[in-house]
Amino acid sequence: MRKAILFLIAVVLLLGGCAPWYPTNGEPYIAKAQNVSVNLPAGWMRQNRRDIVLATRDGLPLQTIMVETIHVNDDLKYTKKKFSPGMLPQEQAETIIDNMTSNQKVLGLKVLENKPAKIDGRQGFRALISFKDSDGLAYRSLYYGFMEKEWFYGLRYTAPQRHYFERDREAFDKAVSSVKLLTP
Amino acid sequence: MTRLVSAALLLAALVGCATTNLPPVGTPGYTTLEDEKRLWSRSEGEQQTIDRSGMLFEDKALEKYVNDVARKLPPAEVAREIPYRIQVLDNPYSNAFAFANGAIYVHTGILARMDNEAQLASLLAHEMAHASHRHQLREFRGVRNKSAVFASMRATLGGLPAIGGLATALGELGTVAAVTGYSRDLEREADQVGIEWMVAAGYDPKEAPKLFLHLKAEAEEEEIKEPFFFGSHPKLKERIRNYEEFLEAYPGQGGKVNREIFEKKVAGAVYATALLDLRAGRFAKAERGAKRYAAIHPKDGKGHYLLGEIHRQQGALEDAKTHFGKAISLDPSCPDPYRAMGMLHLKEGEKSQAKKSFKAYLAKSPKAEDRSYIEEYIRQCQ
Repeated sequence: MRKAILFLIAVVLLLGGCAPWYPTNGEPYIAKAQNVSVNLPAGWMRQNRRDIVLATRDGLPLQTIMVETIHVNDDLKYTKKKFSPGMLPQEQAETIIDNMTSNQKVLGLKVLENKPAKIDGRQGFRALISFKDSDGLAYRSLYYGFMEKEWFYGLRYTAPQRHYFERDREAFDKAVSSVKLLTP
Repeated sequence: MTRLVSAALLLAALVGCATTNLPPVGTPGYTTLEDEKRLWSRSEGEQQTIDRSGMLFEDKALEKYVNDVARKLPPAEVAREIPYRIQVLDNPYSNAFAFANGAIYVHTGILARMDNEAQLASLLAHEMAHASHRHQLREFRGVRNKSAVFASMRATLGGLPAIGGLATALGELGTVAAVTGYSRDLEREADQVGIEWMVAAGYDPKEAPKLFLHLKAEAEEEEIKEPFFFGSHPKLKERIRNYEEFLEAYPGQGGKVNREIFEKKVAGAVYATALLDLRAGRFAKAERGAKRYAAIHPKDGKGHYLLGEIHRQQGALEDAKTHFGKAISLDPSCPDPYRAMGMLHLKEGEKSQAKKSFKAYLAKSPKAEDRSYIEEYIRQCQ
């Protein structure tokens, strides 16, 4: 009995450490930590983590929208490269793609498209990437990014290539077109 | 390192007392055993997964070369029994591993750190000796409840940097071969047999320990806590000592080194590894690789282009310009250095120079995938 109580306490403590999920309503969401306002698709679930905002409708493995901000002094997760002020959009895209390529769990990464894009009126990039995960499942990622002073802003949509990617791509495009920086 | 120790303890704890004293392949008393056949069959299955993983390095000439070197090494009675087949994996980390059935995988990363064919022969002979001396079978026979052990081992060792994406493609046998390695005695035996084979094939055995010195330098530079090819084997210094001890049996022994042919054959792997190192931000390693490629192919602009990129991405713009300029002078038809030069000029506000470089880039590569970026840059230069 005592063991069971201890186990339950441990479970509660563990769950308490997880960030909660909230339903989205299609209204502008103010992500203060990311300095961004974005209309996430209605009827999805949103979670705030320290550096990123995540949104999904059917679960993270099936579709994920991620909003992230990276300071020029921040280390990236997989490459030792960093962002630097004044990087051209193409260089920003290169840094993001190199970071993904250096992730051991991403296999067979291919850049299907990489071109300039405007986000909130700023010069940025748009990259369409395909890869396989550790179980061989084919994914696609659509990544928009831009820099403002010493910060890089990234918006990524990732979903399995079959069925899911095209299904929710339009919702992501709408979210990207709604992005506004809170303080430029 | 904790993960390797845990895996070793796990293996040690489950070692039983089944017979592991098996004669090497091709020696009197050797016959193929039932569990050995199963091991070979499973090896083939795991190989198919690796082969389909998209991680093979596509360079037929290099593959033929490493297989040609391998063919010179084993005694005829071994070669008759084991269909050795060497394949190269596009992976910047220094590693190589063998399956029981003679399938051997060598990373581009370890090829890029070798100096010559004798060092390659040393590595291949070591891996081939694991198969000829039935090390996988001997190790496996000593383990009870294999499925549980391997499941735990893969979970414990998953994500080690030195095997990169390969971790996901490796099965149980591959995990043992590529990740955990074999017991100290078996590794020592493979080293000793490897030296005997390379000497018999006419290679200079003094080259064998040199590869380990390169790996040691790499591990120290990158602060790798779990250097791979030797991390799971007896400790590096001990292996170097082993080699020195084995070499005492060959006083004054020389032999072929074949540096030139080796350099030409591995140039593509050197370049590919440098590119992956650059992407991962390992600039010092990338620079060494790019310089080596430029030295192997002094009339090819690719090496200088890569050196220019390495400098550009570290903010050393003048050095970058020098290398891009060299790349252009060596091969004026190659478009990439023009684009790179244009980006440098653009960032420095030299708009007319930038525009000229970008236009030259598009003229040489009218269907460039990044054409829309370049057109945008040209607009900014108006």
